[in-house]
Amino acid sequence: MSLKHATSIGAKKVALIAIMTATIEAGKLALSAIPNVEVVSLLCAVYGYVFGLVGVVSIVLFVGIETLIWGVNTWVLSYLIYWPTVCMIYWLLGRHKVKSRLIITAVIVVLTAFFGVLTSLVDVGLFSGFWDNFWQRFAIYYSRGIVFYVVQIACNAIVFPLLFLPLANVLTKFKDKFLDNPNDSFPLSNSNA
Amino acid sequence: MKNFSKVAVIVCLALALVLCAVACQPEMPSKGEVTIVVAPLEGEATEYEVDLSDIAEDGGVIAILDYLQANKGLEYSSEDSGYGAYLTKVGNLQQNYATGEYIYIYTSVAKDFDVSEYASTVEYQGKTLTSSGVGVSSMSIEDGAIIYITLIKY
Repeated sequence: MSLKHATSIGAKKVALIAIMTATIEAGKLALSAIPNVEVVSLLCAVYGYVFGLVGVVSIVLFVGIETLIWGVNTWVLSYLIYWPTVCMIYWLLGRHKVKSRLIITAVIVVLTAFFGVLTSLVDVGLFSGFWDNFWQRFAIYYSRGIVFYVVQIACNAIVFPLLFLPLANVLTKFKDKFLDNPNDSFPLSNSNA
Repeated sequence: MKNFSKVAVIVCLALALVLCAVACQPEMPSKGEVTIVVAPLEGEATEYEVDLSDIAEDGGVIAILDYLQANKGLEYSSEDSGYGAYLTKVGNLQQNYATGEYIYIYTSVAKDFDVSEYASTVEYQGKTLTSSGVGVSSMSIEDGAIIYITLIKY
């Protein structure tokens, strides 16, 4: 691969990462008025499914933008654990060419349920060493937010079966046209360069 | 499979709507007395005693603030969000992004205590009050409760 071609691919990836980051952030802000109804899960999953690890970069940037807007707090840690995990799990599903709506939806339902547990664990003090009556405090904290967690799970249980595969198909076609070598699984470093 | 998907979508949608509608109604008895304290970071706090039988509606702290605004001249303002109200001004306490000052609430109602690692306490008239772990729209009221509204600086 020529240097010019490699540079072109690199520039395209940078542009793609920027677009993915922008769409996740825009989606987040657009729905922020409705508690726990969101498309961030969908976009993270689709970007991971179609674009692989490049999606993780855009998600880390998304968390960075969120931190600039809202400031640093425990949720930053939760976000840095959770959203890249969603992206990577769907990247694995993409690599194994999983197209079952049921599996794709079941995975996000489990992950979204995990999100509520993770954020509660972090906020209650899992990583800061504040472990006095930890599980009792966790139970109170989690139960206070359970309505919102259920809403988020329900939201994703509706959005994923309806939108995931159509969106993934459109983006896969786009990826094939956008890159000259779509079969390189779109890694961060181009080993052919 | 298509029928299953349709049923699942309808069930989830209905569940989400019902849960949104019933989420976090604050508890408030129809009788009793509550103390609302408005305390600046520096200077003296202002105390308001409220007889709960004077409060017409069952709306927790927000209903009490509405009552105080209408009858005792305690001005307050808030922003509404899907998660409930967010106080921006109470009396002479004013949220200020530039100085990093935000309205912060402590309560004597154990049910609402913050249980996260960021919980803090304040002493008021010999009682230890704990920062609220729920938003002002969801805070519970009980007879003898003290709601201590102040500022926090980030």
